[in-house]
Formats: sequence, structure tokens, C-alpha cells
Amino acid sequence: MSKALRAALLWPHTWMGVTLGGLLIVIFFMGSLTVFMPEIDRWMMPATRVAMPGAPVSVDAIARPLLEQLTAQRAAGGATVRDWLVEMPDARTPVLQLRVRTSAGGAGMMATADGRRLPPPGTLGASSFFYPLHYCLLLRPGFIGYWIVALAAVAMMAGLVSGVVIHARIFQDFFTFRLRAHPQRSLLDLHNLMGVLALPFHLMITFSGIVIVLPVVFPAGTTLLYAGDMNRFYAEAVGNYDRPAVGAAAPLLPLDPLVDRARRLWAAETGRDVAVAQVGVVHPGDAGAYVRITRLNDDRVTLHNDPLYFDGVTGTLLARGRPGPVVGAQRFIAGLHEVHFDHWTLRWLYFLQGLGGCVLIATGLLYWLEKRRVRHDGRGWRAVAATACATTTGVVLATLAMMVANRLLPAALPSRELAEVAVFFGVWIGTAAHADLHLRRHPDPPWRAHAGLVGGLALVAMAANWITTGDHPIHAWAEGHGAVLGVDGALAVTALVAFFAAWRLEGGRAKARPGGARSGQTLAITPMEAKNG
Amino acid sequence: MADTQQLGVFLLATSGMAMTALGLDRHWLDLVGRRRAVSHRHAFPLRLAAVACWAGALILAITNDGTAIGVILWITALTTGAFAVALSLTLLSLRKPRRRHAAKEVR
Amino acid sequence: MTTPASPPASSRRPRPPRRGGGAPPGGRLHVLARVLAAIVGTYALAWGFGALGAVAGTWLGMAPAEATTLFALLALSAMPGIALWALAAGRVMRVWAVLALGALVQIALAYLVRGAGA
Repeated sequence: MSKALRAALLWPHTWMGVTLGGLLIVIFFMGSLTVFMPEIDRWMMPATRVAMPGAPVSVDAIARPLLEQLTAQRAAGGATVRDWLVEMPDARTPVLQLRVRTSAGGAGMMATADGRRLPPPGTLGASSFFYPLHYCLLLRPGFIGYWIVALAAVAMMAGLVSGVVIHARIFQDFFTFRLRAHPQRSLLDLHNLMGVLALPFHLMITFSGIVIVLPVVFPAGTTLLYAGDMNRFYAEAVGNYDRPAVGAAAPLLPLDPLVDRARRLWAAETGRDVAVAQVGVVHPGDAGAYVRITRLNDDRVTLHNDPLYFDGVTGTLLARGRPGPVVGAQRFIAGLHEVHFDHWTLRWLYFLQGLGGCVLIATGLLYWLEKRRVRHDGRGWRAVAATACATTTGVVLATLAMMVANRLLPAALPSRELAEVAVFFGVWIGTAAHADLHLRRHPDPPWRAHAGLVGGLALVAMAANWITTGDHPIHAWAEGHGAVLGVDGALAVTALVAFFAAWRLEGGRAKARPGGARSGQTLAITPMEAKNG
Repeated sequence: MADTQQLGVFLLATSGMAMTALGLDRHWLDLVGRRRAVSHRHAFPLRLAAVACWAGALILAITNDGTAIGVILWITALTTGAFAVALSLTLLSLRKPRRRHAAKEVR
Repeated sequence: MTTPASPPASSRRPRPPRRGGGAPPGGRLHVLARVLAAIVGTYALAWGFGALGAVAGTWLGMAPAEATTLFALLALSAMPGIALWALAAGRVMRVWAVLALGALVQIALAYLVRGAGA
């Protein structure tokens, strides 16, 4: 790598980081939370903290009456039913999720495995808030959020590649972290360490993340070959089957025998017991009805869920969705991103490496801030400093505030889930404003105040869970609520790390300027020790 | 059994990383002695042992989790091991008075 | 980082490295041209490659969805490299010329091949 090339790539690396770093930290943080989406959902939806049924749930006995109930509610005015969907319970989501779509709109609900209908959760939870925030920033109209996230992700890939090129002493410094050096040195060491040691993960996770939404953000072939019709492309790519309703009524077959046939087929092919993920019925009650059954991918990486299509009236196997080798590879890469397979070690390490991505970008920003500080860049510097603060401690604070609101807002509050979202964004905007105001009078973002608040809110969230649900660790242990234990444990660790960071930042203030801190199960960058400087 | 194998993957990956670190002048000087840089006599066996550790970790990971998940686990274990070594080296360097002691242990 | 080298001489006058490493070369307009080339130009070039590859792959007998996905994946893999080249290469005019020409030729060829195949 020539010196000229390194010099030429330095400013793109720097400026991509400064402009998109904050956004990328938010995406990485929300993505890390998404690894434990079902667990956070259990925490935020206490009614779903139920035991996993021992035996497979009967679709006919449990799900079908509820679906017919939902349909009757929705299609009361003579609307036609488009489809039913049942998400079967699994170890991490031990409830049934049911959905009907009619020409008069859709409806959904959750139910326990013994058929008890659960009240609306009153929260979007991780699955409908943190997760969409991760992949589209909640900006769905026109796919605008997908485009922004994909742009940031390509910049992340370019940042990783250019970072490796710029890093002159990549092998000599492979394990180097000089904690007691000058803060700029320590920050750069940590930045390099995070970037180099976790490079395979960061490259994989950014690339595979874009691959999931590739047909949306890169419709080149679809424009020419499918006249831009994405649905037709998807259907052909993964081998979806579809047929229109006939218009004549015909009774729907019992569904359990079809589920058994699907399981037998998969068992014969894979040599193991494969669980069912979804059972869908399209045009139920019509002579053209068909049933779609997909498998759970807890034993393999790919997201390809091997859909089997049965005739809903005669029971014949109509079709089987089988993607070609390239689309199969695409599904595999997508699965690398989403870690749906059952592997707790890897889930935790994905989570930690995702947070490591936050540290990577945050240390880059802090390094830039430290370096630029001397030159008194004024407004631009302050904007970056406030952004860095709002997207690190700020977003952690907003998340924790939402979790506290989730436990403390009254259940009867109308549009309760939106109140939670308002708390999230209110706190987030508040942290940004606070950081900006603070920076007008102080040389540093309010790291210490934020770290203390993070610690306090994490403890409040944990205590609120114990008080409002009675699910304190002993109870959760006895009931086997591993998800609740895990989330509470993560909150406790967050509080410890945040308080430690706040304490160190206070100690360093007298001696020297603090480098900054990042909370959320990661390490705090301790203030410089003046003697080495 | 599966848990022990997984632990083995992480231990082997970390050992390999530790040996790689020893093969680098800076850490060799820090840990073994201030006088000499790592010589060829030491560098080659260290590298060989590191590669052997990583190969063992890969085989163990694949027998435990299958090819696809095994390779992911292996790469993740390498990253984890590298972080563990980097963190240990940082902590060791913080305890300057005890360096002689640490050097003896390594020898 | 440790060795702040002077930025590439895009403006002819030799200028001392004002801000050290990490500062973009040239003035604001220059930076804007670079950034637009890196985002729009890279995307256009990759889009052309994805389109041409999909059409050509189909013409050569691949399933359309397979060819579309294959060349989208390849184009995506190339994007970070192209974007970095657009940001770092010597002259911004040349960057624009290469990107625009490459994109236009590929897109034109893609429509031609599709017309021939249909």
C-alpha cells in the first residue's frame, strides 16, 4: 500500500465517518438489540411470558377458531377474506401470532398455545420498533429509509476498506491498545483494534445487511426484466405459488394433517425433526383455497423457509418454493445477517460485535473531535460533537426511557404504543438539545451526565419490571423466564458500566480533559493519565 | 459435550492468537525480555503452532456445528480470541512493576 | 493519521496542507463534485452493470431472477471500491467521465440486448 494511496483515502474515510457516523451508530445499536428481539419483546409484553407448549400446537383446534373469530369481526360487512396466517410458537416466541387480511383491511392478535386470546400488547416492542428503526429508520413511504440505510451501509463498507488501507501498521499494531497514552493515541488504538479484529464481522454484517434489501435498493435487473415489478421478481426468485380465488364456496380441509405431511416430508429429506414456522391459508372457504406451510430455520443459516403449497380443498401438493442457486446464496447471506439459527454463543457474540461496531464508529468520531479541537472549528465541530453524543449515550437513553415508559404507562392509556414512541423520540431530541446547549458553555459533550442518567434509567427500568410484573430474578428463574432474566441482566450490566464510566469521567476532569465514554455493555474510554502525555 | 467442544474452539483460537502476539516484536519485548527481539528461531515455531491451533479450532467447530455455522463460529472465535489477547496485553502493560514476574511465567 | 500527507494536487497551485490528514482536497465545489460522483456516479455505473449482467445472463440461458440477483450481488461488491476510487482518484473530471460513460454504455447495451432477445 503506497503512501500516496493512504493519503488519498484518508479524507474519504474521515468524511464518511463524520457525516454518516452518527446514523451508522444508531443502525448498529438497533441492530444489536434486534439480535435479542424476541427476548426484548417478552420483556416489553409481559402477557407473552408464557411457557412453551410441550407438544406441537394443533392448528385446527387452537388457531382456526380464533382465525374465524377475527375474520367474522373484520369481514362482517360482506368483505371477502384474502388470507389467514398463523405464526406457530417457538422456544423464543412461545405464543401464536394470528393475522387475517380481508378486502376491508387486516386484523391480528396473539394467543397462547392453549387458545387463550391475549389482549393487545399496547407496545410496538422490539419487533415493531427497534427492528424497523434498524433497517429503515421507520421511514417506509417510498422505501426512503431503506435507501438511506443502504447508502450508509455502502459507506460503512467503503470506510472499512479504506480504513484497512490507511492503517499503516496493521500487523505490528494488531493487538495494541495503549490505554495510558495520550487520549488521541488511545482512541485511535481502540478504533483500529475494533476495526481490524472484528473486520470479518463488520464486513459480513454490512454486506449481508444490504443483500437483504438488495431488490429494493438496487432494482437494475428488475427494471429491465420485470418492468420494475418487484413482487413478480420476488415470486419468481423464491418460487412462490399463487392462484386466484374461484368465487365458489368450498369447505377448507382440516389443516393438521397437511402440517403432518409437511413435517414428514422435511423429516425424510433432512433426517431430523423440523418444526413448522408458519401455516397460511389463501382464499379460505373458496374452491381455489390453498395452504402454505413453511419450516423453522433453527438448524441452518439460510432464510429460505422451504414453503410447501397444498390445495386447500383436495389436499394435493401443488408446488414447492425452490430458489435457484444464486437466489439460494442470497437467502444464505441474508441468514448470516439475521442469526435465526439456534446458537446462543453466536447470538451473544453478534450482539457484542454489533456494539463493537458502535464503539468503532464512536471512537472514530471522538478521535476526529479530539484532533480538531485544537483548531477551534466552531459550529461544525460542535454539531459533530452534539451528534456524537446524541447518537451514543443519547440513543441509549432514549431506548431505556422507552423501556421505562413501557413498564410505567397505564395499560388503559389510549394509543399506548404511540405514547411509548413519543417518549423515545422526546428523550432522544432532549439529549441532542442538551448536548448542544452544554457544548455552548463547556468544551466537552455532557458525557458524565449522560452516563449517570443511563445508569439510573437502566436501574429504574429493571426495578419497574420487577414491581409491575412481579418477575424479579428469583421469580423469573423459577418460572423459566430466561428472556426476562437476560434483559434484566443486560440492564444491570449497562447500569454498572455507565456508573463506572461516570465515576472515571469525574475523576479525570480535574486532571485532564476526558476522552469520552460509551455506555451499553462496552468499555469506557478512560481519561488520559497525564503522566504519560 | 457440545459445550465442551465450543469451549475448545474458543480456547484454541485464543491460544493461536496469543502465540501470534508473541511472534510480534513489541509484545515479545514486553513479555519475554527487553533485550532481544523475537528471533527466527522462535518466530517460526510460534507461527506454526498458531496455525495448528487455528486448524484444530476449525475442525472442532465444524464437527460441532456443521460446516456453515461452524465456519461462522470459528471466525467469531478468532475475533474473540484476538480481543482477549489484546485486553490481556493491555492489562499486563498497566502493571509495570509486575512485568518481571509476568515474564517469568511466560518463560 | 500519524503521517498527514498533503492532499492530491487537484488544484494546480501547491498549497500547504492546511488541516493535515483528513481534509478534502480543493474547494467546496470540488468536494461536492467528488461526493456526487461517489454516490450518484457509483450507483449509476453499478446499476448499468447489474442491468447489463441480468439481461446478458438471461440471454445466455440463466433464469431471469437468478441473473438479476447474481449481477446485483456482484455490483454491490464492487460499489465500495468504485466509490473510494471516485473520491480518491486524481482528477474529478476524469472520474465523472469514466463513471458516466461506463454507466451510459452499459445501460444502452442492456436495452439493446433485451430488445434483441425479445
